[in-house]
Amino acid sequence: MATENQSTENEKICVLIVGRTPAVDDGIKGILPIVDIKEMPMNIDALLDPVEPMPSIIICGMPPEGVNINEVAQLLSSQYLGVTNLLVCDVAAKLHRDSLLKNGFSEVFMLPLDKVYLTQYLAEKAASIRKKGKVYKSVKTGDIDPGDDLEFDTFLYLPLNNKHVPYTSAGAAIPQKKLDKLKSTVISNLYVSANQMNKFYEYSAKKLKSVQGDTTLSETERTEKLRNAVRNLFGTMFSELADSTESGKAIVTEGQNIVKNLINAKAGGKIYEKILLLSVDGNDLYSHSANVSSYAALFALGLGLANVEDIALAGLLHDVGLSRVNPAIVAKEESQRTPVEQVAYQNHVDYSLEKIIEKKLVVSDLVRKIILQHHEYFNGSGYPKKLVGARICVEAQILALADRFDELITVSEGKARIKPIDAMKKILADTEVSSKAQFDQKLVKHVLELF
Amino acid sequence: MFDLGIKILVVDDMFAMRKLVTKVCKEIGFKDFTEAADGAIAWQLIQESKPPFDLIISDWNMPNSSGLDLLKRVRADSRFKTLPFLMVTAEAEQSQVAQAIKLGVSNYMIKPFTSEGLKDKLEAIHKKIQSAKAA
Repeated sequence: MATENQSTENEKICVLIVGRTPAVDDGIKGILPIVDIKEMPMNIDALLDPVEPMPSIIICGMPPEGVNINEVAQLLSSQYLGVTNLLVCDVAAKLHRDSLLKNGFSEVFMLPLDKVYLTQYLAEKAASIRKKGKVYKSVKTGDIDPGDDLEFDTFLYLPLNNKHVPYTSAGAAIPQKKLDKLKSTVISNLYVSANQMNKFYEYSAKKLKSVQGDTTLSETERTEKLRNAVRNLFGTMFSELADSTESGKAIVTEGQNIVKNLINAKAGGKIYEKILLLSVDGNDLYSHSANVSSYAALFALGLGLANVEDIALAGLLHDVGLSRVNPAIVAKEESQRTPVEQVAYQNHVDYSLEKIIEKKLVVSDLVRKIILQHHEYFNGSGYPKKLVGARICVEAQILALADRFDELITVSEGKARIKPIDAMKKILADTEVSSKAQFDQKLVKHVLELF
Repeated sequence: MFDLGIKILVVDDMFAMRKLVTKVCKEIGFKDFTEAADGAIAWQLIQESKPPFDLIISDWNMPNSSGLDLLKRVRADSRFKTLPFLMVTAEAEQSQVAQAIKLGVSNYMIKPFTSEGLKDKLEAIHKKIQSAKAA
């Protein structure tokens, strides 16, 4: 028998919005056509009267002055037992993700950083409630062996058209030739629809078991885990809550664990293979930071530098100061910013260092130096000090190079894919033109030799 | 079930949760509530209240004086040895529940809870009291 809150294919999903904010509106844009919205102000008296029928999803905005968000969380989870209950808050809010989850929120999204996650989460949730619609998850091609019969459909993502096209059907195997072709065109990810992901996990678990007689993580799970770790780290770093020395230590330890994970994954193999293996698929700051960190460590290892861990840690932390820059400015392309906005954006370098001090992170002088210089360019066109040539430490140059490299190879909507080697060649070609020569030509040549 | 006229003390540092507990109790039919924001205030009220409270519903985790502190004080006083005491705890504190039982809590309830859940717990406490009286 159908219950009140059971949605069928044609019914709209009931979403309860508590304390509506522009960020909440922005977040639900993608699922708007299929939802019925009920609204409630965020005050305790109003919340004590639950809405009927039971909503399928609750989305909370930022609490107004005088309202304790943890009380709201507890109240909602009691009033709407078992209903997905999300908080969409400002990234710099004085809130801790951990305690919000403990108090009853199902998930906490810090915007604008978590925008991608929120959109994906809501789309997936909506699709699972309506048992309709497709959401795609990326899986590493490295997790799929040629000739294996796959019990799930696979898709290719075409960034220029922002489309997922069928690649293979469930029951079929991907032949070696096809996989090689993917690799040669630098497609490190295939896509599987979210409702078939369990089949992918079953397949990769079985495969790992037969290879190692033990269950470890597939590449897909490893990168997912890594991105979540970076997300947690950023959640703590971005919060404007005061921190103790203890929590500072915990943050550094967490960062070092992430870095070790990155560096360990690099043993053996060609740099090209490793880039395919390591790259975290996603067009968000967490993925970017994880990628810059691992590419920088990869280059540093290849060049035989000693301070690989410091470079990788600086790679993780280099952009944490962005939390203090107006999100609208951060979202703009550099060419679209006004001079005033560009200065505001450039302040993120100082903010990153301030954050490290405020959060009581004990990191080496080199880590701080790399962060301070990560936007300095060889031709003196960088900031904040407009350092020229060898006055920029080589570790910072490597981080800047990794930053630029990631920017070029990241797959995003409306942009053609570029092979890693071609990206590096382009950077090298730019060193010929003095106005574009952001990097030491010799350094880029050495890195290119690693490919 | 308890007589609906009994005096209930609701202890929670969160305003919203005191309101929720009170609301659920009202739905069951109870009418007489007093609220306290922490264990210390609650203890004072318990000692001074005339006639005395018939039931305490207390949160576990509160700043200053916790629900467990309150339970210890209540049970250490001979006047309140059998005073019905319902502890409300978060899921994470479940493992500590054994400690509360040892200290003489009448029953406990895990957050988040529903009105049916609270009703069941109150009924269980009432039954326990009745059977203790009979024995």
